[in-house]
Amino acid sequence: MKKFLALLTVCALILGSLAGCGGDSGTPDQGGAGDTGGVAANSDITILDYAEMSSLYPLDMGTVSDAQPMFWIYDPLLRLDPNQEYVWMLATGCDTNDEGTEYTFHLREGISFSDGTPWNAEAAKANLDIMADQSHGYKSQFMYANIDRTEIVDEYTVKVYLKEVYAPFLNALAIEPAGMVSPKLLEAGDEALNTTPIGTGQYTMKERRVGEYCLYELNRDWWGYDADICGGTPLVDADCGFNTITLRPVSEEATRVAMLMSGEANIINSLTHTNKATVEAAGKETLQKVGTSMAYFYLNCQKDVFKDVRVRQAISMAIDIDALNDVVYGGEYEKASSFLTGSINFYQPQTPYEYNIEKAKQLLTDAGYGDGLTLVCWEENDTTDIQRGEFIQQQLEKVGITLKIYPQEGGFLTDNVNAYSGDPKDTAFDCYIRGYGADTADPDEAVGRFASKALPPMGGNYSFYKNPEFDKAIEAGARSIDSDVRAEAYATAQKIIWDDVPAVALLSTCYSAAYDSHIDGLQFGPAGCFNLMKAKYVE
Amino acid sequence: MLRYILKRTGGILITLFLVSIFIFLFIRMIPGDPARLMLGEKATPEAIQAITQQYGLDKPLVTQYVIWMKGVLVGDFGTSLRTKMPVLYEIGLRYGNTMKLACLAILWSVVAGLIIGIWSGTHASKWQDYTGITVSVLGQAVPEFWIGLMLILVFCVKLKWFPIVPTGTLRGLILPAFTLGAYMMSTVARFTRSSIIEALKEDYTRTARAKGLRERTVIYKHVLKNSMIPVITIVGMQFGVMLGGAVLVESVFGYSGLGLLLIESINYRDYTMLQTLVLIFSLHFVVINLLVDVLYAVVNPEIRLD
Amino acid sequence: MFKKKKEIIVTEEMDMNTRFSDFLRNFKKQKTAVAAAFVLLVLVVIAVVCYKVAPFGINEYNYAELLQGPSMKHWFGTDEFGRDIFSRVLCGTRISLSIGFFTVTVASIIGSVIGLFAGYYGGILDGIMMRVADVLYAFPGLILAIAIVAILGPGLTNVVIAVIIFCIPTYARLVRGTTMQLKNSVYVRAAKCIGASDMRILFKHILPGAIPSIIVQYSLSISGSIMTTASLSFLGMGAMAPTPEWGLMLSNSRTYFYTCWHYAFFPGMAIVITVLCFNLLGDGLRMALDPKLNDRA
Repeated sequence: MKKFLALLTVCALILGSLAGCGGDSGTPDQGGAGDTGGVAANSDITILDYAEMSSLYPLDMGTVSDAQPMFWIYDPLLRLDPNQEYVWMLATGCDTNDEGTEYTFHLREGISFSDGTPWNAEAAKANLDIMADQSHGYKSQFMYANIDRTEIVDEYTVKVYLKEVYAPFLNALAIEPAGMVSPKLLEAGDEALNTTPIGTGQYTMKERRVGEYCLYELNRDWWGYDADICGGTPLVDADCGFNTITLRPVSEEATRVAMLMSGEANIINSLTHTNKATVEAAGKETLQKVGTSMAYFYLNCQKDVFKDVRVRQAISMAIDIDALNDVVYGGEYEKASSFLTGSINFYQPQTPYEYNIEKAKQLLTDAGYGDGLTLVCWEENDTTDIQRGEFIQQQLEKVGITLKIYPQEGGFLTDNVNAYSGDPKDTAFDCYIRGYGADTADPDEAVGRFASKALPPMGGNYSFYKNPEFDKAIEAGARSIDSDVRAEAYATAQKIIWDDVPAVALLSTCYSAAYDSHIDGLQFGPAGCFNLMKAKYVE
Repeated sequence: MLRYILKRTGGILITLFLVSIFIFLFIRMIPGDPARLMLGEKATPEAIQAITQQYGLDKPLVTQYVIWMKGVLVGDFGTSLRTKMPVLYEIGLRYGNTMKLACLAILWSVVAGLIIGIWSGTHASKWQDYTGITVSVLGQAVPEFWIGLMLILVFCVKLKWFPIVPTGTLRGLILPAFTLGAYMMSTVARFTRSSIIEALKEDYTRTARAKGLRERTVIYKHVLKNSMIPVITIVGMQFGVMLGGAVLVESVFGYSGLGLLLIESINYRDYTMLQTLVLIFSLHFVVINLLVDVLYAVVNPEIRLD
Repeated sequence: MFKKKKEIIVTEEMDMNTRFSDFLRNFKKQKTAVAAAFVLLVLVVIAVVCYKVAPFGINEYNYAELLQGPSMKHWFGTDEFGRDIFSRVLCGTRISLSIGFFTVTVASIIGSVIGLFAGYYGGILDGIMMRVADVLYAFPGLILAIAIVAILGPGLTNVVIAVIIFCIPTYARLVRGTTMQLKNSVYVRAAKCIGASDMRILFKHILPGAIPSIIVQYSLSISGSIMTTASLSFLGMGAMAPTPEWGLMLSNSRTYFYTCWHYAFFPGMAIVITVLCFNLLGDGLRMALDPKLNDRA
């Protein structure tokens, strides 16, 4: 018996020591004490996103989840408001030369980074230089490949020279990757950029436990509260903002919903229509915004099977997009009527393809695939994406096409397609279902991604679509700042690509979120991140 | 005793050595150029060349293995392909979480298993026994991922007793630990029960009873002591099953531990992370088995003669 | 795993026939095991006829009836595409059972052959094989399966390969143990004297002695195999849509979990029942083969 007791003690000791090495973890220590400024004292909120961010450096962001905290910590030179109008942030305005190759930015004065470094022309140049230098290989850098050089004019003025006219340049500076980082941090290198972000933003990062949570604290000295710096009226009211924000990655949608319902979370990102009804029934608010992003069913045009336009058209006719919308999205998305979503400038609706199985079968038979066809399809492994894929699988089965779907992690898919160095006709996938947001809200990013210049790894032309005429139209649109010229160019481009079907444009997607009654003023930014600038806590 | 421990440790070291070779070859079997994997899609040929040389990827396999092992022995497991941070840093952030979960699960399952087992064993073929058997048989047949979901549904969503995502507090860990320990509890209960039934038939039990000792004394002093040996073994053996179960439980509860990290690294094909995690899992498994063997030898000196 | 230490040592002198009738008599005493065997028989029948008896097709979509609760029309409710969950669970039986039987059959054959040779010839062959088994044993079961699938890529075929690989060492060790005991028995020595070939001795005289313990392990391994397949599918590494695999159905159900309990409940129950029956059968078989284990019951 003694031995047995001794044994138990040993076991207990081992267990104890093991448990001891666990260290502390768990809920973040939400501050709350001290000066609360104008913000509600107990405004410590929890936001749930569906994925963990992989980088904290704006320029290296690859996904919406990466971007989520970027605008809380960092301010860019300007932003787009929900109506795609410019809101000047770290700059107060800008002058352009007639050709559209030189941009002179007037920087806002009196701002400093949270490490005390002043915001001035030097800091701006440091950021813009890295953005322009493509050799760094950051994920979102390609947006700024057009910057030739940046010149300091005086302490609060910088002049950016472009290599060639690039119409969406200002829009590209208004999105998350263009957040301005403290020059000291830029010098410190990648590891510091990834662990200790320092910006001028409304929030600072206080603590991060990878995979668990990231805690942001209100920057009470944020310039946006200061009427003097903002030139008379402050950017936001003194009661806007939250004491702390805990951002947690919770990949299961059902878990996010349950946490919102139980009060463990205040805001949750991304929910399907089934769950939307559930949370609304429980008295929670929902937010929805038709985004600038569209889901495409890419067909690799370099594959023999898709060289025949009849096959591509047949697929286009075989998918009942309205039913897809109803079944998977509760009818809340918008059926695509062009390769651009309606919210993007120069959008031109096209004649929709009719849903017609018989005609699709006929086209397939004509093309020599009357006996059926097996295609390998890639997609993201997000729950609704899988459901979308399964739906398309069901639809195509009716015309004799067997779709073999491989759902995989989004970041992995992107890297894998981009790293592909072989002949495009030998890619592992035949088709690829993916949504893509045009964060700049400019057609160059939205439809320009089907041009040859955007062939992987340079961009998202996963259809490997090459059409000189289309390329010409896209080029004409990007290289002019004259609206009429651009409108015409993009009208042509949209027509060409719609008839050519290198991908089936499925739906304009919606960003969706739900939040509880304590939150007021929540908005979506252009890329689908939460814009919390004017959000506040209500009792 | 010391000699026995040394001998067993030696055996373990050989196994670990073989395991490391296995994992090394395992990573080589993955299609694709490791340098390209490390550097990502936009790497220039020069950079790839540099990495190839730096890591000796152009050298013979044996040399490569030695290079890798040298790194591992000084704690350099490489950089995560996904986050570009040192693998050990990422693992360190989550290691404690999994250990807390596993320890809590072992603790409750061993205690509950013993109680149920003793209860069943000493009341063989009575209703107590049948109840015990039913519980333990069910515990072995219910998949972790399903019972976890059901528990969340009942206790977190309907009754709101526990937070849905475990936060590392004891309260949050109760459900995951319960789920993870269910299988072990059943196993312990079953082995305790049959051990006790066997011990009850032994001569020493009869002798003790014949001496007129109270039944309680007989059971706790004689029977239990002798029936503990197989139970210890089974706890050690089940530890591996538990590590596997942790992957499922962490995934169901969204609990940020090594298991969830394993799933994430597979999803992202983060091979440096994957190989380190697999190595760490097997290291734990092997070391725990060693500890069990040693404990076993402490309890039962005859074993050492083997 | 501890069970192996209690392996039944069957002496070859025993007459096969009496042994079998003893076994049957003993097995019949195991009421729960007999019941489990009966349920399993029903499951096998379901697996054979499922596509014929299922009220709906496994991929019969009905977009008008999404995620409905159990009703007279849909006993187990419908899923996110309006498919009948009852029919899908029924047809999932075929997938799970066939994977279970296939993987374990293959693993037990390979493992037994390895064990026979290793135990009989000993020496380097034995050393190598047992080292390999040690290495495979150094990984927690599910982790090994996950790692193998990580290399081979997701999909049911690769899951099958993974399960086979991690089942093999169990059988190799089991059979090796019996072989080593039997190879020095009078019976085998006698066979050698009359000039029987090694192959004949191995497969005719030694293997039958190992069969009972293989059978017990077989039943237990099947439940492990079914569970592993479901686990991997649940983690998104196994079956792919639209296969009606139980683990995959559970995984899909998670999004609608809070509103549709039935979607997660029924596939889960199917796994529980199947695994439970194989476990009970395995226990019953073990007790029937070794009456000493029969407790006082």
